[in-house]
Amino acid sequence: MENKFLIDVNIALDILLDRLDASPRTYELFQRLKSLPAVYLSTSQLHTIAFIFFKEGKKSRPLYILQKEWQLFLKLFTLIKTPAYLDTNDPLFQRDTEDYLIEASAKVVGAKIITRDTAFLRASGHAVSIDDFLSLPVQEAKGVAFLDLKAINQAHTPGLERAFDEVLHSGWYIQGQQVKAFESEFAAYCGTPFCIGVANGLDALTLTLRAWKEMGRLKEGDKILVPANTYIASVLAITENRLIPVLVEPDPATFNISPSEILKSLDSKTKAILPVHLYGQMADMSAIMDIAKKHDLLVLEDAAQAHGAVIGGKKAGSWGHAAGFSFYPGKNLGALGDAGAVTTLDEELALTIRALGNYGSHKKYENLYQGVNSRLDEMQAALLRVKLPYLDRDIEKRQAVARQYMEGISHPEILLPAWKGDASHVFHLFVLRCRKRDALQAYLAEKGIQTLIHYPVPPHKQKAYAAWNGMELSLTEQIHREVLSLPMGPDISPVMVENVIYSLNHF
Amino acid sequence: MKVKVIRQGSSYVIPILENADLELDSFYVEIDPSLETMLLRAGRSDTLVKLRKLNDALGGDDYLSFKLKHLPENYNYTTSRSDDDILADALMEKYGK
Repeated sequence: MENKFLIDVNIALDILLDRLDASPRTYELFQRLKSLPAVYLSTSQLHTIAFIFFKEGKKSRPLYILQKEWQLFLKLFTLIKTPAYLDTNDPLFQRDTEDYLIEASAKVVGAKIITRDTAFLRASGHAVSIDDFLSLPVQEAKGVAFLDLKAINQAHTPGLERAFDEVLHSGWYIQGQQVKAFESEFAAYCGTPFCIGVANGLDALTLTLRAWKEMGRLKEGDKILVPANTYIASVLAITENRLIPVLVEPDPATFNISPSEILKSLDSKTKAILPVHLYGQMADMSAIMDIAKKHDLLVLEDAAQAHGAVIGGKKAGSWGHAAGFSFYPGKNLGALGDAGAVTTLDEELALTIRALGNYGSHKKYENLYQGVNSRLDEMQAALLRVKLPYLDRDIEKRQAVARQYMEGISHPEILLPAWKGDASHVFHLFVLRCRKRDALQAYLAEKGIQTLIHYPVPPHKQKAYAAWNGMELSLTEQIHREVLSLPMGPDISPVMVENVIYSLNHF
Repeated sequence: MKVKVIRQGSSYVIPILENADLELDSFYVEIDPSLETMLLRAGRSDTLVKLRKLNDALGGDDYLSFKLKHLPENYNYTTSRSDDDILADALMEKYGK
């Protein structure tokens, strides 16, 4: 059973009114509830609790005190909605509609209901008594998950629900006000005049390269420099456009494309650089832009992992001629499905990408290009708008986790990422290197610590690019053998991080 | 005669005198400090002692600290009425007119 509980009206009133005569274990219960990560209250209960609390409370304290107390009380709980999908034939609905609604709310999050109501206890398989609740063993931490997406999104539940309801009841689901507003807000966040929502991060890159082809800035057979140690999407976007990817070895310290290797890889057919801000750390954009300017190259940033990263006051997505972002659920700014965007300073490029992603159409039923359907939808845009204001706060939390790792991990065989402690790394992933990577991963798994490998096989060793399989990129291949991603996220507690550090140092 | 009083500093005001057969709007009584100490000790709330202990155990909870600051010293919740009855009264107050 998950460690989730919702309290019934009588328990809430025991706490609010300190009803120790009726319920002597109230304070013991309160103390246990405080040890849980979240305790729920159903919105269906609030008016009943408030009616009784204010009626009884005013016998002992003035109204303004009760109002403040009520607000503080509500902060102790996570409120959950009362769903509209009711089964009016349910025996509990027919016996006691109030209890049915409370149970319906509890089911939304998979919580048990703590109650003193014996009839409720008899009628609902989801209800537990105070004594039963208090006799449950205190759950030990089960380990450290790599990323708890459910917890991350649950923290935004009220806003996400409001956004969902707005879109659901607007009757407008594609190319509406939510997308327009998100594009404007995300462009402002990145410091660019234009943002174009697309279906996913891969499309953001593919459509940008395609747009440059339509604009005559690129043509088939042109070479694009891209780091060899990247997720395959960066390369797919190039080959999809019949351009030629030139795989460049990375800087071994940062894992990012090396400016000196870029210079070695240039030739007359090179027309663009696609630097990837891998794991959330920005590539050396200043050097890359200097090279691009000198050699008249386009720069497309792959910022799929680096929302909010900054170098010299300029955010990822505002350095190059364009940038592709992904809002895949696990990203630092994640949607509840696939979503992506392009940011750019170039208005013509923005218009071309928008048309290409909309069947090649600037205007309804007028098609300038043989386009595709790749649009950010209203629902994902609305949900992203809820989370965007919290992105910087979440980045700070990720950086705090990274700082704790950096200061705590001292195993001589573990190589930590190169980070100056500045804003250039937003730690989408915390990736270390270890020659005994597989043994380390197995050891951590035994300790209940979940890790992942980003990425186990480089693009040039994939079957999809069989023609390159014989290519030797020794540094990239070594990195792929040694990298290991530790648990990382805005919700990982210092205790969990300490647990990981302790285990690593005893490897 | 039993009367309800409101404490104002070291004095006590008796607000309801309609049925007391006294030709006064209000009057003051002085209580012997030693008697008051004795009475306070007798009426001290066990609830507050427990609440304070809980708050200490939790290292100072915002909600509990606020309650401790504002609950009367002799607070003890007792009622013979069920939640349903109290709710019915409250609902009548709001909707029953």
